[in-house]
Amino acid sequence: MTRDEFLAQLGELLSCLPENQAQDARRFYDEAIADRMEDGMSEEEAVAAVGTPEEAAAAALEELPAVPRAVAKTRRRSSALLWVLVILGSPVWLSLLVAFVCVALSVYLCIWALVGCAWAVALALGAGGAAALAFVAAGIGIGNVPFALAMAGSGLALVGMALLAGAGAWALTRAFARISALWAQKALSPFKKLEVDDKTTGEAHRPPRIHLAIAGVLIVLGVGLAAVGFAASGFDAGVFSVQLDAQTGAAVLGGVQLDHPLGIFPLS
Amino acid sequence: MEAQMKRGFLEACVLRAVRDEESYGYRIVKDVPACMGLTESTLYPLLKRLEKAGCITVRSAEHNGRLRKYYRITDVGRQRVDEFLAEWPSVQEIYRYVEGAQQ
Repeated sequence: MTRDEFLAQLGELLSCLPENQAQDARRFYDEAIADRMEDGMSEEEAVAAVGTPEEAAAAALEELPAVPRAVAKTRRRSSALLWVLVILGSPVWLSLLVAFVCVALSVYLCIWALVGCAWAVALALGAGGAAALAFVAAGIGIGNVPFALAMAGSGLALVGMALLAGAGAWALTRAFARISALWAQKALSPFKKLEVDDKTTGEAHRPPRIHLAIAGVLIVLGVGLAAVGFAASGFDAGVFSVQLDAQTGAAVLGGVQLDHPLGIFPLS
Repeated sequence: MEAQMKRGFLEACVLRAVRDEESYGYRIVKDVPACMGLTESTLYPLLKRLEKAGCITVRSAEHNGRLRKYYRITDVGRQRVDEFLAEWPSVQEIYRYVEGAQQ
């Protein structure tokens, strides 16, 4: 084989690469052959010494990620064959692909549903706390002090728990967002070469955990207040109850029936 | 030779070949010990990898009316050679351990 034949074959085998990369490989082997001829070999010997064009092409393609390399290798045989395989195999690979994507997607959605649940719990606790605190005003309005205390206590405790649950939900969200990014990278890795950045996620720049301290104080304070209210009511669990009937307009706060509920709450 | 090990050895050999002065493809193939069986098709991706990792620099210069690429080691490359050499005691230890199985 002559030098020109070798280089032409190599160029053809590397036609799947960008032109500058194929050119770079051709120049490298051109130089290797020329140096051997300068060293006293005949052209034939020099070409034989650098190996076959197939070996050279395989080596140049070695650094490609898996999928482009497979495509390049199949194309090397024949692009028609590649398309025949793709089309004939489509009932198999297409359905497998769809199934795989669906499973991956549903697992992914489940994970985010879990995160959504965490947020819903936090939100529900917060809303419950806010409602309880609103009833404090009503308790004071009707002069039912144990009820007001019980509501204030459980309101504060619920808000504290909402803070805790919110912090947990936030941590979950961040963790899954990070995992999602990792998975996306993994999923793309057969197609694209990725720079691996070993960014150590910062334990160092954690935000101060002041909200956790606040939550703790709120819960302790709330439970204390609620206990006082409970005691003041003569240990009647009804002190924690609120019954509102939107149809009759009747209201029972902390076990005490109100005579004129409409004065306190704009019930229809 | 085991593939991963050979890869590490080859890398160290090529870095050594361009350490004291710059060198070019054919000369690297000749300089590296024959037992490594280094050929152009092994050398080409290896040089690319080393260049990408910043272990060597490349320049083109004219030689006999044609261009030839010359490779030279960088500080990062030197450091990698040092790391390779620093592993020798543990390689020796492993060798002695495996050799012990023969007796």
